[in-house]
Amino acid sequence: MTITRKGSVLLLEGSLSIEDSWELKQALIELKAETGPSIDLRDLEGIDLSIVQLLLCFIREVADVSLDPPVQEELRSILGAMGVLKC
Amino acid sequence: MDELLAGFLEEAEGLLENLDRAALVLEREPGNGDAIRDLFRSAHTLKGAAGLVGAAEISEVTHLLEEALENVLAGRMPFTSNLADLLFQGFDYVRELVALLASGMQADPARHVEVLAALGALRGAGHNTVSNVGPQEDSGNDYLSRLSADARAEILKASEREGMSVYQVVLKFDPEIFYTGQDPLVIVCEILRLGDVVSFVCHSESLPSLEELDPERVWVWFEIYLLAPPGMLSELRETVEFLDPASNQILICELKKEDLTSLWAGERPLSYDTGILKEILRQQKIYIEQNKGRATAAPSLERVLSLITGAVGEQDILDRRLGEPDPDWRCFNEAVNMLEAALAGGERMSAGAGSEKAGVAFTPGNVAVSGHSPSGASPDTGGRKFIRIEESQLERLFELSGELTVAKNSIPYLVRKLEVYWGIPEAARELKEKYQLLEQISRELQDMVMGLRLIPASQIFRRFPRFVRDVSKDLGKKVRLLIEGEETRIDKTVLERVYEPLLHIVRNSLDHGLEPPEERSAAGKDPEGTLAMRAGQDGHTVFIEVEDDGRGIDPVRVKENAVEKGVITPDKASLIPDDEAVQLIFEPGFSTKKEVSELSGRGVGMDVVRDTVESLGGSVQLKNSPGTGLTVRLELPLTVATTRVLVVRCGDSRYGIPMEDVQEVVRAGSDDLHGLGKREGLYLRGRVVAVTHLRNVLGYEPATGGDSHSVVILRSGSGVAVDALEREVEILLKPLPGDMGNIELYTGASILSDGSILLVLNPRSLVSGGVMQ
Repeated sequence: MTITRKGSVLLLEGSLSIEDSWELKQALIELKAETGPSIDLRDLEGIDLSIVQLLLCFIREVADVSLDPPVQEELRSILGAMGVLKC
Repeated sequence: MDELLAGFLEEAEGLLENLDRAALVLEREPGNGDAIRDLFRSAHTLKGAAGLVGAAEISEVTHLLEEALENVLAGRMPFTSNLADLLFQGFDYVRELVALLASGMQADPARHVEVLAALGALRGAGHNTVSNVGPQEDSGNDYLSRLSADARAEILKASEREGMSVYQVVLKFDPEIFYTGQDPLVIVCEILRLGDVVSFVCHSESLPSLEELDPERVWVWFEIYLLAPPGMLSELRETVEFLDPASNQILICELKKEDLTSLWAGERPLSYDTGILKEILRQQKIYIEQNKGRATAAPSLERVLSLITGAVGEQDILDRRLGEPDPDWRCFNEAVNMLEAALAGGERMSAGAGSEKAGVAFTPGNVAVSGHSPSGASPDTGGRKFIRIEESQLERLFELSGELTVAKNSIPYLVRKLEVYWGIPEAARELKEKYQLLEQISRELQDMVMGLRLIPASQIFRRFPRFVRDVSKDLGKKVRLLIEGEETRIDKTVLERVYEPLLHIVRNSLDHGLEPPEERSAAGKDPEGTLAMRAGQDGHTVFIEVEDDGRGIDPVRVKENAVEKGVITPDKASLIPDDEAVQLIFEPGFSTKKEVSELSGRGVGMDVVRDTVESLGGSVQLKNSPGTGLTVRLELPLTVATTRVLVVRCGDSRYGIPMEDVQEVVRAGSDDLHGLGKREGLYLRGRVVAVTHLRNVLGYEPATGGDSHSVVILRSGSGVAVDALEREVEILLKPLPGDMGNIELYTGASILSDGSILLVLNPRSLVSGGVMQ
């Protein structure tokens, strides 16, 4: 699991779960301050509902965020269904 | 009163105190999980215990309270101030019902209905904010009714597919499900894999802001419509079979096209409701299997059975039991049979007891033994066992201990008699050795028994948080109550008698002392005032203090008021220093508020407080800081079980005068006493003290002229002349038996160590003129 910030890009890699949720929350709060923030989910391999809720919250509050969807089809599908990714 | 009822009344008192305490904590800390669990458990236990003794009204009210608390516990309803007010109202009404039950009276039916109607608002009380899960306890039809037109169209179209069925799945997870190690997303994904998604909604209306979001709670819920082959219900249900139906709201059912059409055209078919019912029962069946034997199962079973009879009608249940072509009804029948069996059998008894007690009662002495302390008792027993014992038995034990002491004290005289009078020194020596052992045992027994009379100050302090909360809310004031030293042990009698004075002092603080928030802010103070109650021990006395950081007492206003009421003259008022002026509040009928507030009461003033405390042998002190606050300190004896008396001699008899009434003792010659009507007067430090001769009161020959006398000056200001003073002793005062107890001259009697009887005088009666000769 990795949560990395590079400028206005937040990179999420591997499997993220509730144990990572507080770290992710802090990272997202800091990302809000950036202009044109972006979240790179391409190398995301797994998530749980706590992570989905955080992402949902973020995209609801930050209108201009761009998301790079996961490569994994199922993850892409579930995030799309949840409203995190725009279908 | 039968033993079961007596046990319930005691348990109810403790549970109600617990409910108050936990609700107060939760009001300040809405997220406190321990407090909400404590609240729910106490309400549940109270409901069960009330059911056992047939207190139907109490069960009814506590059921409403329990329902609301269960919703809070499950995260379906937040704990709001509105909810707190309703709960407190419910607790108070239950107290009323318990009091009625104790006195053998019935509740007023009209009032009961009125209260139930008011408490019915508990069902919606939490909804002054958006809950974190969404609409509560809706039926499948409710969700269908709220679907958008597009979603409806998709679902209807899917329902027309030959050989396929549409399934409705609604998932409202326990907000704290993560703590069970389960991830709701896994369940959602499993369900999605079982068919083609017709419509999927992740309801996120309750998601707070990112900053406020607690990622360890579930804030979203799901509404899924799946297209899958018929018979997929069981597979769908298996995906949620490990979820606790008590805290997770799960709805899984198969939709029929005609039902959907009817619904969306305004009709509501019975078969659809039956589907929901079956699902509920299936979940309950799982719950029964998992929780057989657990007392917590029965309440949920009762609720489901009432739901069935309400939704389907009892006749329907009976009819469907008889012929069951529909395989699904087999599940229904089995569930109903299991429900009824569980309710009729042991689960009802163990759930209905709800009591923490092991429950063995011994008739002799009415002692009930429990495996651990009753709910509502002091927390943290540290593994110790407790026993409940009637107060009268404790009093008797105390008396016997005292009598043993007296009997034991006569042995030294017997020893002397053996030595001197009967000349048997060997027997005397042996008896003396035995006496020493008896002395040791008797002293330890007396210390232990005296200790039993001492109870912690928390016994009365715990009544104040709720009182302060309610009163400060009524007054629109913000008050923080601090309690310290509640473990201080004080004589039970002292504590009981000091409760009302403390209530008055606290009421005064809230009403007169502590300012409203705006006034406090303007004065540079924290808008929230502080009220501290402290108890402590200092040698053979204990103290209880009430301190506030309010306005304090304005000595100028006190003097003005005293002059206005005629308590003192204007001249005297101008001479009294400010720090002494505050003592005027102890004068009867005194009040510095222009209007006597209903809160602080009429006729109950600081004079009554002082009289009560002084009657216990204590004193009241004030520490006043105008503008900063006031401290009222009550100093009290550690115990009133024993009385210190001054033993005096009159003629050939001895009498006792309670030391609490004695100011001093002086020696007066016949020249010092001058005729003053029927009495004599003694000039003492610039004033004349009226002196009564005890010989005259008791009918002895008058004292001869030229004798000097010991004069006991009483606190009342009068004096009693006696033949001689002996000593101070501590005695166990007992009332005089039978009609002798009506003789005003004596407060009681005791047996001295030499076995002689000491009659204890009532000083007020001595000098009141009632028995004057």
